[in-house]
Amino acid sequence: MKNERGDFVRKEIIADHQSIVLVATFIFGSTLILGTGGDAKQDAWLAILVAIPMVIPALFVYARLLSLYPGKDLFDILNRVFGSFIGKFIALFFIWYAFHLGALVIRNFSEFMEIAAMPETPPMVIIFSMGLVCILALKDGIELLARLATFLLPFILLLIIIVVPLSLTQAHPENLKPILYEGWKPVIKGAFSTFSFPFGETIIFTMVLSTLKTKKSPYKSFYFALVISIIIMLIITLRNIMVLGHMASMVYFPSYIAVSVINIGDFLQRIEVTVAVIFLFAGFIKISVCLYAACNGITKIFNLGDYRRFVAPIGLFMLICADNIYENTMEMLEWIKYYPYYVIPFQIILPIIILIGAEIKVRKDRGQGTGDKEQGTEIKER
Amino acid sequence: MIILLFTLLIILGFILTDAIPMFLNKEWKQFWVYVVMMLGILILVFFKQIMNVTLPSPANPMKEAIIAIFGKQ
Repeated sequence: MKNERGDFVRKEIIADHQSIVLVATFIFGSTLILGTGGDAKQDAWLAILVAIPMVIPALFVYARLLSLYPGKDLFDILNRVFGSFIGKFIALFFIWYAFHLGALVIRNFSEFMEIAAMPETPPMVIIFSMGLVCILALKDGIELLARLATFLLPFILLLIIIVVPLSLTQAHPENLKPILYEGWKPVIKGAFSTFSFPFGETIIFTMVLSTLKTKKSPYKSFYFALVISIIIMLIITLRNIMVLGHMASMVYFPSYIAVSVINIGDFLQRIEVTVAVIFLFAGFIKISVCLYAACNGITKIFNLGDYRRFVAPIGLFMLICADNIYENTMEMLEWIKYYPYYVIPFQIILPIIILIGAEIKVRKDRGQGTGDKEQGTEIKER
Repeated sequence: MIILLFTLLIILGFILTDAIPMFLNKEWKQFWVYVVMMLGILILVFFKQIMNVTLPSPANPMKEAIIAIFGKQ
């Protein structure tokens, strides 16, 4: 197919099951190592459940946006709804968010690797090693990334299925008590932070999932992925609290510590490094998706053609940003407290404004009999 | 110094695979954007690794903005 500049670009198609896996892996990407709902302490599992009613409407907004304009991503939608100038201006915010999120995730994983396995290695080396893999993978396209996620997810799930029962030998269910000791306030706060990290981050997929097959695919992708990721996050969070108790909200990487205490008959122990490597797979997918969103946005608003050719420079900028974003781990954890407030415009305010604009525009176009005809040539509802 | 050399090698590798085809296809806009971006990366790494300049982090101004708007401490 031809792009707006008239260059021939191969149309990438992501199957529904691949998009579900991609979204699910993205959601629990860095949550596997950082944990979520820490504000709620031993009620973090409850915070995840309380976050669900907040997440469902947000995901509806994201899916509805993609469904209104099948075959288009957020940048195309902004261009159509708000016109070229305002559309590009709003797009800059989302590009920044995707770029910044990618840098934050790279930094999370580099801090994790530094603390867990390579304390003497300069962070720049870890950041570059991880980032280069993402750049090289993305140069082959988002289709490859979706296939890779489909290949890697069973390994991640298998690991969770094996490791969680093993760590239950050290579990103390009484660590879950007292439930709601400090009332609902910390739970609501934890639910708000769980919404913004990781569920609200799926706004990135409005910049990615333009290549789905049907109009219903975005709903399927978001909601199935939500179910998978909530189950996994609940299991991991409950395990962490039962194994570590109140320490779960105090340590840097609770899942890693919870796995490190596994000791079956003095024979099966020190398996946390294997677990860390598997966690990196999920991180790799998340970083690559953010990089794709940023590259896609930049090449679209500056009319630069195929995004693959700009993956390398944008990716390298992301790596440099990741290296400079924090001085140390303490600063990273300090920033996590501010993160839910920082993302409100990207995850809630702007998507709602764009959806309202898109609904008005689509209805207006339908009234004039122009909109659907244009969209219908690109993708047919099955 | 090693990291700068490593970055230089990476940039050269990417220029060979990405920028040269753009040059040969006479896609001047893309070519110059690519070259300028790569030069920018090289300059940033040079400042960071050789001159030991601390590049400004976006986290601190954002934190201040959040405190100013939400009153979060």
